[in-house]
Amino acid sequence: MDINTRDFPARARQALGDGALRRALATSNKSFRHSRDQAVAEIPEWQALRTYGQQAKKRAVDALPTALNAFRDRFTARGGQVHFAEDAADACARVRAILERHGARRIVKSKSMVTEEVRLNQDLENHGYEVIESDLGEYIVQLAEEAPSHILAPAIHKSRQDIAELLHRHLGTAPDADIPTMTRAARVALRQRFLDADVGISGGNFAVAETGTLVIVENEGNARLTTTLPKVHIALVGIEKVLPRRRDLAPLLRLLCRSATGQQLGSYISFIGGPRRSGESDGPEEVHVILLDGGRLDLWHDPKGREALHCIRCGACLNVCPVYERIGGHAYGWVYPGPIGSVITPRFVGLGEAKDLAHASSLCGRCDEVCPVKIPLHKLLLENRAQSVEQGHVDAGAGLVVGGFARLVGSPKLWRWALALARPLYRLLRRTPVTRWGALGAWQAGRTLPSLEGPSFRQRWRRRHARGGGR
Amino acid sequence: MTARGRLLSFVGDVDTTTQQAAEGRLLEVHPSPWVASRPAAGEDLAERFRRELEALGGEWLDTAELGIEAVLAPWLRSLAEGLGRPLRVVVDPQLLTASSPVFDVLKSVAAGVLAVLPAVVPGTCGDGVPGTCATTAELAAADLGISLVDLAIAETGTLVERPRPGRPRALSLLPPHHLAVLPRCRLVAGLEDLFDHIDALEGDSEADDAFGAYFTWISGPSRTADIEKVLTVGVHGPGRLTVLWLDDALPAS
Repeated sequence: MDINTRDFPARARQALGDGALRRALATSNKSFRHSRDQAVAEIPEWQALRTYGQQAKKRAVDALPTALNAFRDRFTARGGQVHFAEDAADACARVRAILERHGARRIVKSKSMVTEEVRLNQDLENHGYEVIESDLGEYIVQLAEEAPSHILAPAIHKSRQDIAELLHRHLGTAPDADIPTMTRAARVALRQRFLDADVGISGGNFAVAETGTLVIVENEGNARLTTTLPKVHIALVGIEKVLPRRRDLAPLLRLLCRSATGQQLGSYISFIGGPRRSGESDGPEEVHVILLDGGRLDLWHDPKGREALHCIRCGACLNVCPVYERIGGHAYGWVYPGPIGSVITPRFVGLGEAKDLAHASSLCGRCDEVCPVKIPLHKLLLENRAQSVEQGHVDAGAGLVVGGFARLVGSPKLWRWALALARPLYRLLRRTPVTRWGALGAWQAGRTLPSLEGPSFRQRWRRRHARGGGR
Repeated sequence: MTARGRLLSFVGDVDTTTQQAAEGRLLEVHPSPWVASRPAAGEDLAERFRRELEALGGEWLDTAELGIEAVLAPWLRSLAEGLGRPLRVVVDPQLLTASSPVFDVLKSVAAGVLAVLPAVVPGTCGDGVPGTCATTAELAAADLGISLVDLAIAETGTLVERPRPGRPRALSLLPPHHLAVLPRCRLVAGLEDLFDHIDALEGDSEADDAFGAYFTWISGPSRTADIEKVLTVGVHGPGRLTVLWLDDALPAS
């Protein structure tokens, strides 16, 4: 996906004015939250489970070099191949090298955010490969030539009417087809693609070092088809997905599936330990796992940022975020939206490139409360803000305003004087649109300023005491 | 951007002793918290499995009272009647042995109900392994895939399947309807118990432990909610999942 994080303010403003998008997001977020809350309520020990998940991911990420080493050894011993990719270009080149060796042309993909991160589809298409997304939501956004807007439900920004028109044009279904009809049409169209594909490309939820096993969680069956039918399977996985102990899978799968979709478990969970064995009549003959750095090592080396690598990509923080719910995933301008996106995107694409994202938060902390592995998201957002300032990505004007405010609140006399002056000014500002006045206009636009009712607290306090004190 | 080789040197070529010691620390046991969703001691696991399966949209065929012949034969006949033609079935070779009660039923209803596929006939496939290797094309054309599950988890209504020589991975995936044969002895209580049982299974080959090349957990039919969060079944995998419950009999394999 192209990096459009610089345009965040403009994209967010545009999204805010899009009524259809706002309705779609409100409905989907409510549905996501409802399912998750129900599933969590079934487990009275949920908080203890979260603490366990937090500790398990901390153990895994802190021991990343050891765990990666062990995963490479075990997975290779099972006949699989492990590659380490430094960045997007490296990852794409490694995929292409495998495709070239097999003379592959047709590629089928199951959902993977890492492949979005490295712009794999664009890279492969530029090199003449035919790439088809097979997750229903990903297939829809691919047909629409858009990007996914939610890490779990890529087409959640589109209404069923939008999708019906899209499939009418591409698959010839009725322009007002219902959801089961559209789903069946997609099944039929994609089934042949699976049968014809030379190579299947997937992501991965966990890479278990102890056993050398790649774990993929899904609901549709497209990841199973992607990793079963083509002769070659390539998985792109972030290095932070390595898990030392397979026993941590049970609690982490509980946390992931309940937080993501409110299910006890995804419909299909595949445990892949290398290529097919002798005597098997299907399954890939070669399995490659490409482990991507892509900015993760920098984050790992930053003690104040490392916790962001604990993320298991459940999407729960998106579904409770008041900012995400109003602007949707595309406004964020890159692969990962919502609170976790605002935390990791600036680390992956550069703080200067995405300095506004850390401010796309009201710091309400709901994301912290639902995170299944207890990532302190709002603390990490504040850390991004701090680092933005340290690296000089903040306007001089903002510095002046904040410095001036610090002076004001540092002196009671100055503060009282400013308040006395501010009250009539504020009343004027409320009545007068000042959109032409640069920063002040931008601040005023989109805000409904509350009215100042009656005298100030200080004035009332003084009057009460003048009347004889106390009550 | 990052210097070439940075990630490789991060992972490093650690000497075996250091690596083993570091891994040993990582593998220390941290007991995971008990969660109430795990079946309690004494809970009827079959009942729990059935409840979870049905909540997921799966179907339960109980042979405990009437016996397998009286349950499976009419069920197969009604599927064939619904289609208006013989049912194209692919069967797990483990169920195609002389002592398998499922095989007896398949033989008894075959005429006019089951289409004769190579896969219904025991034989040998790749490398001379006994079994019936349905091709991917045959699986894609089948109406029903019948498999013997390796393990099942009562807590979540989950079936666990490992591929075997002669049993394709796509047997429970490509046909639109999956019939999973589940004997009671293969049912375990919760997720955590499953890992103990997997350890007890034999590996696929001398080189592999039970974690092997591949296994898959199946919880209900294939589903999606990608359009407006509306649940729809049967998007890529089977839209119908039926579990044939064998209360005591374990088909000999």
